[in-house]
Amino acid sequence: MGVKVLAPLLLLLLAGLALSLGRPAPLAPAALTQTAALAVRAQPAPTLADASPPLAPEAEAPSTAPEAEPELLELGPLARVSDTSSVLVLELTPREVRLLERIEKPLPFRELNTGRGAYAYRVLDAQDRVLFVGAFDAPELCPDAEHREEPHLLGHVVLAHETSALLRIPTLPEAVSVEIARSIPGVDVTPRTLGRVALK
Amino acid sequence: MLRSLTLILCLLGAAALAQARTAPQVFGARTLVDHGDPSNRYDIVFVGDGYRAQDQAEFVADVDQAVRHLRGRAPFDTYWPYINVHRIDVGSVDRGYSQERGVTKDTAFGVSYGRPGRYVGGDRSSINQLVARHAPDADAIVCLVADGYGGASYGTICFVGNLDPTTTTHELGHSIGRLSDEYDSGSAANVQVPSALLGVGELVGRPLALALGWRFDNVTTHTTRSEIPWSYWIRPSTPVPTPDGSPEVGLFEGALHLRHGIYRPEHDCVMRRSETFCVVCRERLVLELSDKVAPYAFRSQRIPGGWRLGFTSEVPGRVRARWFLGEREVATDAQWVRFTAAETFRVRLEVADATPWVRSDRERVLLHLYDWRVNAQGARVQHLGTRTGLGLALANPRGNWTRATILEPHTGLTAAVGQ
Repeated sequence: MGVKVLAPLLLLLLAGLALSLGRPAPLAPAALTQTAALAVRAQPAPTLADASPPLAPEAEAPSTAPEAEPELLELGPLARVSDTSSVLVLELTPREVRLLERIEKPLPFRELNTGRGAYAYRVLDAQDRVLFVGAFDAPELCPDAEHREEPHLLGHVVLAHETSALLRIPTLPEAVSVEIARSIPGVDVTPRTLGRVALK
Repeated sequence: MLRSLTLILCLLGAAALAQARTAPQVFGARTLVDHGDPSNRYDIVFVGDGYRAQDQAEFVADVDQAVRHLRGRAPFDTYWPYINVHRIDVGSVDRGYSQERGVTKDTAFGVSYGRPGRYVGGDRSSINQLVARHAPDADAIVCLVADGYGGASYGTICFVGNLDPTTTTHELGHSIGRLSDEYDSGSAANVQVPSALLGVGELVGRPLALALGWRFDNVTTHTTRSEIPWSYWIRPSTPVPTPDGSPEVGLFEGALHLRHGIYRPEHDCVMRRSETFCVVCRERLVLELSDKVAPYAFRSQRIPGGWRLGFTSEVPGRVRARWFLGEREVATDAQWVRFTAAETFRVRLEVADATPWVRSDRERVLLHLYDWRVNAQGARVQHLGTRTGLGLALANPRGNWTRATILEPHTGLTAAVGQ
């Protein structure tokens, strides 16, 4: 890289520094101890149509130095727990859980996929340390192990004594087992552990 | 002795053969509606039972018809970008279905009808194993039954006769929205149930759920206005109970297969006989679909002297956004904010789907909160945490069994993660 290339860059840098020094000092918000100034470009509330075009640089943005490309952030619900998922085919009864099959999938497991419901699962390592906690639901599973009535309709959901469930969990290298418990309001005073299935 | 043993073995063999089911013949799998990453979409998977190899074109047409019907109903029409649809083509040896005390057919998932009109079921383990192998992800599974009628939901999996596409939408109302039936016909429809019994006892199986604390969002036994789960949809001038035929949201007697003692929100609904979901069911479906989708993507951009933060939205309508610098709200409904600062500071964003179809978001599914620490002079934007209705793992990532962990997975709302 010669002087011909470096010189314009140096000039740009100096110009940027001069502009930066010439800007008013940042204001400190009263509620903050940090020194921070804010310039907000209030744009209309985004809609699907508004969201479609790529994010364009703002008109008033200082352009004295090159801006980095916007970086896509996988945050919050989209944050990855693992790059792949393990899909477990389970058979559940009010008393126990059995693993029928485990299938690995190239499907990212995100915080979004943690799930919710009356059944909770814990992914454990060889020392029984909890690696991950999630939940799922099995609304068709009869809660009472002693209830002997044949499977029947409940609000047109069939209530059965055994059920099969697909459970997707993050693929974690240290994971050796998954423990499943349930806590149905009004039925389980304390969480009832249904069992543990081995992953390896 | 040997003859007897042979005879017994032959009988056992014959019995085994009678019950044997030929393994499903899989012709292929196809994504029919692709709106993106299955881990960030509500994925509906269709499989078929009782369709032979030569019936596959009919299966394809039946699925298309069911999907068209679903897509034509609010809220599925509006929130269609949240949904992926997949189809797995499976062949059965015999056409149709078995009957519990009658014809036995060799079909892929052994679907049989029990007492006439009562329920239909099949081998859910086989369906789950097939779906786990051939579909990228599954949040709801529809097993269409060739020549079948009616349907039943087993939670994630529902079995639906192919003769009426509206039934698929109805059954997905159960599977996706966990909604109850709102019709009041059936063998016990005219039973007069004392209201106390409805809450604490068991009668023909149905109020068992209520006794056990299970609740459907679209039926209730309460008649006091303040105790009605959907009271916020009812105008003060609307009488409760509400006279049948009234076009308003109210409290209409008859639901959950009973004519008396249980109430529904509107005169009609997909969960009863209509082609349109009532506002209460529509609200629940929006929340359940939204629970499986994070519709915001974020971008950060280094600029001279600071950072820009912005988001894009896949919400099919207006969103509300509030930006905070520390505790101070600095922008409302802005898609972008620019920060210039000398030191580290903290930025928060609250963003929510502003759909008028949801008036009560108890679990705060529609609200997403993001929290960043921004080092203006340095080289990074640090994400401190997120609070949404999906807060279980965030709230207690190393948790032991506790009631809070299992029953109240949304307690993560009360404190920012990472503080």
